[in-house]
Amino acid sequence: MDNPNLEDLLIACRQGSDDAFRKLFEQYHMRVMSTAYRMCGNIQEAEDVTQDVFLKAFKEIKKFREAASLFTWLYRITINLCIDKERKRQRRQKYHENVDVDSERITIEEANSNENTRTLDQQMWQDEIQSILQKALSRIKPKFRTVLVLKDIEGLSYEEAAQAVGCSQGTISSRLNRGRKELKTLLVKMGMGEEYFQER
Amino acid sequence: MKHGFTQKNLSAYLDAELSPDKVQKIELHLQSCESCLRELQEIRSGKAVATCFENPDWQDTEALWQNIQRLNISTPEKGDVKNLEMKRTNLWQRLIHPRPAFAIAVLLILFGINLFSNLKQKKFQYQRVQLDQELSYGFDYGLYLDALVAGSPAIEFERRYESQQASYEQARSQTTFRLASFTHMPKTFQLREVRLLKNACCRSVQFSCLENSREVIIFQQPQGHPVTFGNYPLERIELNGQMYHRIKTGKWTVLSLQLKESQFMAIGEMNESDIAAIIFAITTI
Ligand SMILES: [Zn+2]
Repeated sequence: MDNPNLEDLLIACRQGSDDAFRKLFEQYHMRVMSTAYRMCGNIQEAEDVTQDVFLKAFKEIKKFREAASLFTWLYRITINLCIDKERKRQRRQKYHENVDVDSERITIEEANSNENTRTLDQQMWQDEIQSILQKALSRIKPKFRTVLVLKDIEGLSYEEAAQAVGCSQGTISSRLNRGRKELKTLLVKMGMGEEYFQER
Repeated sequence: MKHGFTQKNLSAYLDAELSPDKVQKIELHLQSCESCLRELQEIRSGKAVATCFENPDWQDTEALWQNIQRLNISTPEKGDVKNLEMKRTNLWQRLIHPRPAFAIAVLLILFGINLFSNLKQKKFQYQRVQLDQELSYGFDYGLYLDALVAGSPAIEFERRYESQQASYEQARSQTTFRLASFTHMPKTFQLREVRLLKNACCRSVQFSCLENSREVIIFQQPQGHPVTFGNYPLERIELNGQMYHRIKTGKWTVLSLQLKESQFMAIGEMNESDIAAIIFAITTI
């Protein structure tokens, strides 16, 4: 990201310009929010996290020098805040851990046998698939979920993901292995049809 | 032959993130290693399914910005994010904006003095489930109640439901389904299993709502799917201008609400304040 404007933006932010903060928010809030949503699995928490990410960023931007890694820095803050939140939540609701995949099973019938139904309810069907995908994602350990979100959902490169997580690219690859395999296994257990595992 | 290098880098290999010499090394290994090849296939499937994620429709993010800006200005330099959390105005306010007075009244009844802590814990969780077949069958919620009253929900409900289903079976062959079944959780009674099935007798959107470890299930029955309640008598009640019907039997309650083209049913153990909360939830979801 060699963007001269980004350098200026960063300088203006450091000087406390409201306009600059606003621009920073506009430029990055969707990425922050969607990452937080994937990590937390719920829209309201994602908005809470987004709020905290920008508040933290505005506060710490004075110490921040590397315009080039601004967006991976924001990803890093996002991921850390999400993981923090998750830890706190887990402490609060220990009993939820008892709910395993089998007792919360959702079985999806392929629905291929009836194309009419499928077109009729395309949107509802899509929503349902999305909610099942998210449910599976939420069950993957944060360490592996993070790389899955950054690389496969947010589309970061290995280099960017490694920067955001603070690890080597080799680690990104091995965590992706694990994340991707777990995602598949969980979705198969939840009854996701074969067609979703084919390369498009 | 060593799997280590290949295994670690399978994702990087799939993502074309490796230098040509490493690619060559891996391809050579894959030619002679069944287990790494299988592993690669698993990872490939996981990668493929990960492309199915779609972003949700975000609501107005302007409000989010306004909130951030306000907090940013009102925050002393040295405060850390933890302090900010305490000061944050709850984003809930935006959700309940259209009818603030009514919403706050209901919330107060529901949460009493624990208002703020309860808001944070997000007591209402809902699961939306689509049964993917549109048929003109209705559903007798009396059966459901029978099963609840019998005290052995899962088995009883399914048995009775399946016997009712026998007549549908003639019209719809190849049908095996359960609408939903209960699972007894270690400490609480919750609906935790919902199955999406073809040829289900109603397409219902289903919510489950967790409150004080009791669970209430909410069904949405679409238009044209008549609902009956067996021999249970229905009471007609008005709450804050909203008409609904109620059945009470033992500790179980059924609420039934007509909203636009859908009929909503809430079934479970509930007290008066739960009822107010559930009706609020249904009318605002
Ligand atoms: Zn091998």
